[in-house]
Amino acid sequence: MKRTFTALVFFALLVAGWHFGRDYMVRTHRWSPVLVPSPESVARYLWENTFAAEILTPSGVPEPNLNRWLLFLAAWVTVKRLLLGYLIGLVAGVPLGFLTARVQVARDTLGVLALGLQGLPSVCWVPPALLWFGQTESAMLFVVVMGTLWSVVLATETGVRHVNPLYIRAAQTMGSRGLHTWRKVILPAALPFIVSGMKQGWAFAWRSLMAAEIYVTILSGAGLGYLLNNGRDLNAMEQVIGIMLVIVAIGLLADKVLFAPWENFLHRRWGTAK
Amino acid sequence: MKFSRHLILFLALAVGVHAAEKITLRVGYFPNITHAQGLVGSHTTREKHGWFEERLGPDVTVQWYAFNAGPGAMEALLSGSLDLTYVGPNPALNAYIRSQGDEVRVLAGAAEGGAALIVQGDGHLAKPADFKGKKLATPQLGNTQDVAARAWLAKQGFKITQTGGEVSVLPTQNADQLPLFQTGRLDAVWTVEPWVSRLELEANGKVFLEQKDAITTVLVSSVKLLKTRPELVKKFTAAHVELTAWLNAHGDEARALVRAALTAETKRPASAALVTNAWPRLKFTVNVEPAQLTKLVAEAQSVGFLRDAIPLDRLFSGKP
Repeated sequence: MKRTFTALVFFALLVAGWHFGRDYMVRTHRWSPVLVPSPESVARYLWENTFAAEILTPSGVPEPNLNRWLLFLAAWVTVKRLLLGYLIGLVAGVPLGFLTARVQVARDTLGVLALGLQGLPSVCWVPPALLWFGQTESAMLFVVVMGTLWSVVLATETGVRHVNPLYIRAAQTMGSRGLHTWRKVILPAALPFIVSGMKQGWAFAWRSLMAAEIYVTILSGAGLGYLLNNGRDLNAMEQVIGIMLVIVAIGLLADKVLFAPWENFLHRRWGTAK
Repeated sequence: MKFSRHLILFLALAVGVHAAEKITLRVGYFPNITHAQGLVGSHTTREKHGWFEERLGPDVTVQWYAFNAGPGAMEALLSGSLDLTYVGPNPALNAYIRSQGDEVRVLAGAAEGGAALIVQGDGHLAKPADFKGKKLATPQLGNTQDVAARAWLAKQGFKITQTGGEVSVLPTQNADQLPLFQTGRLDAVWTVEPWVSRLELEANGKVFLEQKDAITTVLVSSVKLLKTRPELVKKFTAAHVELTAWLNAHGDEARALVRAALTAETKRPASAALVTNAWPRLKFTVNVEPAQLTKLVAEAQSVGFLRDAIPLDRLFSGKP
């Protein structure tokens, strides 16, 4: 209860600072009102593009809101792209990571490739993806997969190689063999690394998708990045900031929904839970 | 030792004085025929006999920046990286209203007409109702043709939002529209000359609707420039008025110059037929009727790009 209260006070102060600071800077002509929107205008933008059933026309007449649910639809377009690409990255990345960890040849080839490509910002894949796939969903998917895959491979490899050999030897002394060792010993022991690799993969995928959406128009769906860039074209900074807030919210939500359960589970398993 | 110190001092002074004397004007324009004044200005600058430089005096350097469409140019103006620009009326209005009238002034008109809606030549778009579910491209979100297209579609009863709607309005760079239209991935394009003529001549497009009397281009200045160098703005405007009169009086020479400018700008030869085809669609004039702009504000509001309107008197005041 006290923690929620502290957080609420903090954010209320932040918004108040934004409001009054901006107001002062605009009134004294130090900031252009176009470039820094007020928190009210951002809130209004968010409201009118989510739940508002009606909006007022400039002459004060209410009319049905064409943009209702717009942000949810755009967020869904973006999140769908992200989840699909991310899942493919995971499904391909974890086995590849096991392979590079246990097989010398794979480590010398695939491992080096993964290390190299992981260092390449995945937004660099956007231009070739556009040429190969056109302005399509496949191009977006490719960029997201490239963002996820390599960091998952590397994290899994590190995780498996860091498994204490004593665990494996102890298990083998007790009669564990083959797949059983993998499932019951290596995987659980490597899990903390794998989960942090998944988190990193998520972060890379999210960043590359946003970059791609901002500078490429995909004909089959308008995501959040597209709307953000629209705001820029219209000199509508409240739209730009509003979309940024939505992106932050999705990031927080993903952390809470996707990763927090895993991390709690790990803490319990390793006895590090508070 | 002493000598070299004097030398350094002298050099520093010389450089300082020199830098203080030179004034750089940063001017935006688009490589379109509807920006003929900007094309002639930038081309003559490139050829070292700048039309504007000759009328602004030896201390002034003009730097020309080409943009694809208005929102980009207004963004540069608002963020202080551009002083003057040729631009369509909608982005100028948008910037004026969004800045509460504090940042932008219209100095003069430049061109009317030259914008049109082109559809595929096969006739599958014969009447407004046929546009349902089709793809229509515009130069950039919120530019003059984009707003015109959205307002026109709304008037035909279609529901359009920023992410889609009953007709897909797709902001696409002019240069990309042509191949997309040629390969049939776009059904219609709302754009300006020379792209209208190129779509007609090179992609078998048909003019569906022509905006003959609509304002296409105006000359705008940042308020910052009007505050710091009002006399320079006056001189630039006068040179612009003179150039507009010259364009109207010397059709053949003007067309040749615009053609040369387009060729140099786009790095590919512009045909004489192209310029000849486009020219009669345009009218170069320095007049702007405030009433025309008021109508455009209403259009921008009707498509949801602008909410609050403010009086336009300061836009034309010519004063900061």
